[in-house]
Amino acid sequence: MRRTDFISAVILLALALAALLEASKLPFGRVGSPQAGFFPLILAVVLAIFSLVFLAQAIGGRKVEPGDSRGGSTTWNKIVLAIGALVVFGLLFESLGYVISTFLFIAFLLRVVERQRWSVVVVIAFSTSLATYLVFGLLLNTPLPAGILGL
Amino acid sequence: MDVLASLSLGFSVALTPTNLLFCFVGVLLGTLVGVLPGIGPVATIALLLPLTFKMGPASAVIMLAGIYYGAAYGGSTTSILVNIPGEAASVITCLDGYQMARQGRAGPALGIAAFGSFIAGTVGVLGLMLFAPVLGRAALSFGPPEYFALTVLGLTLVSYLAQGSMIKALIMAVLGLLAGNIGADPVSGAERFTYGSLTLGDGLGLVPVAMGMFGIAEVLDNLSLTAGRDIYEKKIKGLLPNLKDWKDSFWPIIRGSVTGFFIGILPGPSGAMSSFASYAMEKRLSPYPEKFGSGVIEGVAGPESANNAATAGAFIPLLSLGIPSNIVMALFVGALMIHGVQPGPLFIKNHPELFWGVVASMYVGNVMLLVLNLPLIGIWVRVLKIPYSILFTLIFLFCLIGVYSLNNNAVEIFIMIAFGVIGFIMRKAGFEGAPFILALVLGPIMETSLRQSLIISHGSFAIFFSRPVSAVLMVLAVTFLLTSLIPALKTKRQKLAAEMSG
Repeated sequence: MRRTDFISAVILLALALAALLEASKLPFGRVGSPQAGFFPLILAVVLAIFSLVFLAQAIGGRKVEPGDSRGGSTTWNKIVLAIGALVVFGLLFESLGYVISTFLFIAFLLRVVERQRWSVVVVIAFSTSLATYLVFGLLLNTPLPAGILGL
Repeated sequence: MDVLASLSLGFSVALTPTNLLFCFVGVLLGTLVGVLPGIGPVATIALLLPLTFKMGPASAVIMLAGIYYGAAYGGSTTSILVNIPGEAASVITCLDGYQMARQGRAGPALGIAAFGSFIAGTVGVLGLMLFAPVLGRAALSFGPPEYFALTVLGLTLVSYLAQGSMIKALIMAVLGLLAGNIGADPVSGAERFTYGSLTLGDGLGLVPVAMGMFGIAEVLDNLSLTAGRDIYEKKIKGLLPNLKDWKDSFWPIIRGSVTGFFIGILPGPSGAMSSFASYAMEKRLSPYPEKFGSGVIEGVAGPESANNAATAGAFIPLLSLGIPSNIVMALFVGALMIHGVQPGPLFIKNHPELFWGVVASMYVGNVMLLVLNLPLIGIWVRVLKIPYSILFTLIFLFCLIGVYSLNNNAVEIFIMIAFGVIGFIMRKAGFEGAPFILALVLGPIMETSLRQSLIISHGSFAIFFSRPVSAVLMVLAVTFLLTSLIPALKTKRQKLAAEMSG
C-alpha cells in the first residue's frame, strides 16, 4: 500500500461525495434540456469513479512513495511563517496602505524567515517598497491602496 | 488576400514606433522573467494585464506575446549557467547545457540556444501563418458537439502527457472542471457553489488560481528544500558556435522546430513537452546516444529550438478555434476580450490587422531577442546573482500586486494564497497543477457545448459520435483514456514517459 496516495484518495473521495451532495441541490433538468446542476453532478460522479480507481491502485500498489525524490529535509517552519506573512499582508494591505505593509512584509520575510542582518533587512525592505511603489503606483498607474499615510 | 499582402499589412502594424517599443518591452521583460527562476510569463502577464487595458489591442497582444516567447529564450540561460531551469521548458537543457558550461563551453551553448531559438521562432511563425487561417476556416463549420469533443480531447491529452500517474492527472482535470463550475452558470446565470460570496459570483479567477498554484506554490516548494546554488563564475567567451557545432546542430534545430511547433498546438505545458520530445528524439537518432548528458551540443540545440517553436504553435488553437491551450493563452483571451475582440474562427477574417500585426511582430521580436541575448548575456548572469532570499520576497510581492491590481479585490489575494498552499501540498503528494488549470479554463466552454449539444439531440449522447469530426476527436480521447486503465498499455505509456525524462 502506498500511504500518501491512500490518504490522498480518501480525501478526494470525501470531496467527490461533498460535491455530489451539493450538486444534487441544484436543478438538474432533463438530459434533453439540462439545467445548472447537470454538469456538476456528472463531474462529481466521474470524480468519485476516478478516486475509487486511484484508491484501488494505492492499496494494490508497491510500497514506493511518490513525489519528492529530490532529497533533503523539509523545513516546515519556514513554510508556515511565509504563509502567515502572506495572510497578514492580505489582511492589513488595504488599511495600512501599500508602502507600509510592503515594508513590514519584506522586513518580516528577510529577518524572521531568512535570518538576514538587520542592516540588510532595513535597506532592502525600504528600497523595495519605495521602488515598487514608484514603478507600479506612479509610473504604471497600478491601483494600490492608499491607507493611513496616503501612500 | 494573399500571404504577401497580408504580411505587408502585418509589418505596417508591427513597425509603428509605438508597437516596436511595446514589442521591445515585451521581449526584454520576457527574457528577464525567463532568466529568473520562480517567476514566469504567467505571473508577468497577469501583472501587466491591467496596464494593457489602456493600450490598443494590437499593442497589448504584441507586448504580451513578446513576454511569452521572450521567456522561452531567457529560460535557457539559467539552465546552462547555473543548472537551474528558469522555466519548465528548459529543464532538459540543464542536462547537456550545464555540462558544456563546466567544460568551458558555456559560450557556444548559449550561442546555439539563441540561434536555435531564433530559427525555431521563425519556423514557428511560418507555421502559424500557414495553419491558423486553414484551421480557422475549417472551424467555421464546427458546432457544439465538435467543441465539446475538442475540450474532452484536450483534457485527456494533457493528462496523458502528464509526467506522473495518469489517474492523478485525470483527477486534477475533473477537480479543475468542478472548480470552474463555481460562479454563475454560463447558460442560465444561476449561482452555483458561491455560498453568498460576491467574489465567487464571478467565478474563480484564473489569475489568482494560476499564480497561487504556480508562483506561490513554487516558492514554498523551493523554501522547503535546502539546496545551495552554484553560479558559474568563469568569464564567458566565444559566444559564436564553431563550424562543427553548426554541423552537429543543424538537423537537431530543424527537427526540434518542426516537432516543437506541432506539440505546441496540443494543450497543456507544451513548452516542456516539446523540449523533452526533442531531446528523446535526438538521443535516439544520434550515432553516440551514450554521450548525451555529458555536454553534447545537440542536447541543447534540439530542445531549445523545440520550446520556442512551441510558443508559436500554442497560438493556433486560440486564434483559429478560440480555445486557449495553456494558461498564458487563457490570459490572452482576457486581454483580447477587454478590447471587444473575440478569439475564434472569425478572428483572422474580422481582425486581419491584429492577426498579421502580431505575426509580423514575432519576426521583429525574434530579431530583437537575438540581439538582446547574445551581447547582453553578462547582464542576465548578473541578474542571477540576486540571492534567493531576496528574490523570493520579490516574487511574492509581484504575485500580490498582480492579483490585487486585476480587480482591486483583496479577497482574490486570499484565493491566491489558498491555492498556493493547495498547490504546495499537491506537489508534495505527487499531483500536477497543469491539468487543473487547463480544466478551469476549458470548463465553461465544455459545459456550454455539452448542454447545447444535448438540447440539439434531444438528450441523445450519440450526437458526439454521429458527426465525423467530433467522432474522430472522441474516439481519440477514449483511446488515450483507455490506455491508462488497461495495464498492458499502461506500461507502454510509462516506458514512453521514462524515455522522455531520461
